[in-house]
Amino acid sequence: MDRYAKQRLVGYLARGATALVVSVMLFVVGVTIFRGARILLTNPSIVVTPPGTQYMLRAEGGFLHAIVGSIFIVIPATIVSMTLAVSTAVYLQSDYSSERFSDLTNMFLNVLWGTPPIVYGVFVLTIIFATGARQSLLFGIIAIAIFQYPIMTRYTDEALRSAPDTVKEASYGLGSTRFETAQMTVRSALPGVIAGVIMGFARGIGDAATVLFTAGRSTNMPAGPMDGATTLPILIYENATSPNDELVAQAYAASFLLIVAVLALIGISKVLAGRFARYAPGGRHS
Amino acid sequence: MTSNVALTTDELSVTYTGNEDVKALNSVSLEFPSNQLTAIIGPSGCGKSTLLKSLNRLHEIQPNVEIEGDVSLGDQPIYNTDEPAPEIRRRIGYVPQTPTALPLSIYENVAYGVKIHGDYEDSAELDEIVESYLRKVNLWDEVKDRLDTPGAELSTGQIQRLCLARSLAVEPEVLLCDEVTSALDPISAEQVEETLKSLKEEYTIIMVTHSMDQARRLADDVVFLYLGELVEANDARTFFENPQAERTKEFISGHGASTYLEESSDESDSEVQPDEQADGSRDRPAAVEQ
Repeated sequence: MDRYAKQRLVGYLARGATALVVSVMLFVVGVTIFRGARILLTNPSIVVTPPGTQYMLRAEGGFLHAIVGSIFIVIPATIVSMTLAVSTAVYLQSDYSSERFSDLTNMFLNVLWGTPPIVYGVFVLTIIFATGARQSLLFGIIAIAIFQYPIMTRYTDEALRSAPDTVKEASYGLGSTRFETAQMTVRSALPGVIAGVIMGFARGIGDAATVLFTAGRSTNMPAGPMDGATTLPILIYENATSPNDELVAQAYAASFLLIVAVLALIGISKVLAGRFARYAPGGRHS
Repeated sequence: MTSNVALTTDELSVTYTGNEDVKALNSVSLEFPSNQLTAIIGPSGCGKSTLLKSLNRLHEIQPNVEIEGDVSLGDQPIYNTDEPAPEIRRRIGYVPQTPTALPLSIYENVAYGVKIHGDYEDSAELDEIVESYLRKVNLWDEVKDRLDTPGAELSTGQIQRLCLARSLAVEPEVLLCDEVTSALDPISAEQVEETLKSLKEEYTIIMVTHSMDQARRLADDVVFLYLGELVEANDARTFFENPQAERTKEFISGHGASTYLEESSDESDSEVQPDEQADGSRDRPAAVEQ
């Protein structure tokens, strides 16, 4: 094949792949909007109504329990994970750790990142059994936090590494301690750090496998941190496979909510990142 | 060298221990007189930046650096001491080569150092401090109406003057400047030079420069390094008009000539590519780049 034919071929492939991805995305969003938004519009009360006692049989009430479960699992998990991730990422920078140590740690983090979430679920389940506890909101938080941690750490680490060295030098040159300098580097890398946190959040809110084992698939409102709970992805699975049409419809409504939540998060992160990018070295020029 | 000595190095050696050891600085003993501007010159890779950074322990922030000998600020050793490194660096300030605003507003950039050291009573005093140092570097009139905007949105020349103001605001005794004009356009560079000129009465300034002309214009004293060795340190007049060492004569007469550059280093000259610091110190930027 001559060089120009090769170039054309690669061009077609690239365009074809892009078109495929975009159409799949539009299809997914389209289906959830079509099937989910419709029920939300006709019966918006399902998102604010707790499930009735006959929820799984007759779709009594709404799925507020899963919304509350998602919020009360993912937000605390994200806060815990973010704190640990930013601290770890700071510690992996050259002014704290040797290159060998951070390379090694990053390797482990990559392994963790690649670990299927269901494995985390089983891991936390082992702890639950060992301690004689029950599946609960709290263990859901722990499992999601572990799941999010490598994602957020790797993103933050990359963001901190791409911040220019001169920020560090300038800060140290003023007599800052390592901690004060770390605050400066995190600030200057904030757009990337935010992107990492949002990515972890989005992955956490969408994951079913970790929560299934650890928080359970309760159909009641969670009464406290030690009570069983469920999240939207599990509700979607349970409802979508139910023979009750109304529950299936609610599954699409829940999917729609999840997609809206993730899109909103991405939007927020873009706005925040844009705001902080003005302060980063290079400022508006970058 | 005439007046009091601000900073002394005593057989200072710096070795980069990576895959193989590279001795960047070999037993350099120097005296930096106070309230004067000393220029450190020499070809790329000669250890200029290494020397500068070892004067306030700044190289300690990168791994794989070993140091021997000592540096003294007045009578006080800065290595063999219990004083924490940040206190040392506060007394010996550092302005990096690339103009870098901290990710803060213009005002906060200057106030930052003052705040971390707690050197002010109330916000009115802080306002005064910020204004006085911005005036000192001739930046006040250009920024007084937008003190709350990000420092990074200034022009590079303005940012470099902001960096000077920021460094001066913590009231260092010595100011280390690492090729502070090399990333600037000629007009901004001239403004920064003017600022440095006006500061050298009050401060001890030690400046690394690639530009022989700049050293001639600004320096009271000159230190010439070659491949990590001290070749000659003298007052500027003697250095340029009556150099003692053979190498200095060669360097002064041949500076800029291709023969010399080829001999000194195979790396490109920073004057051509200001963003690329050709010193050995940057060849191993720790874990920062992958």
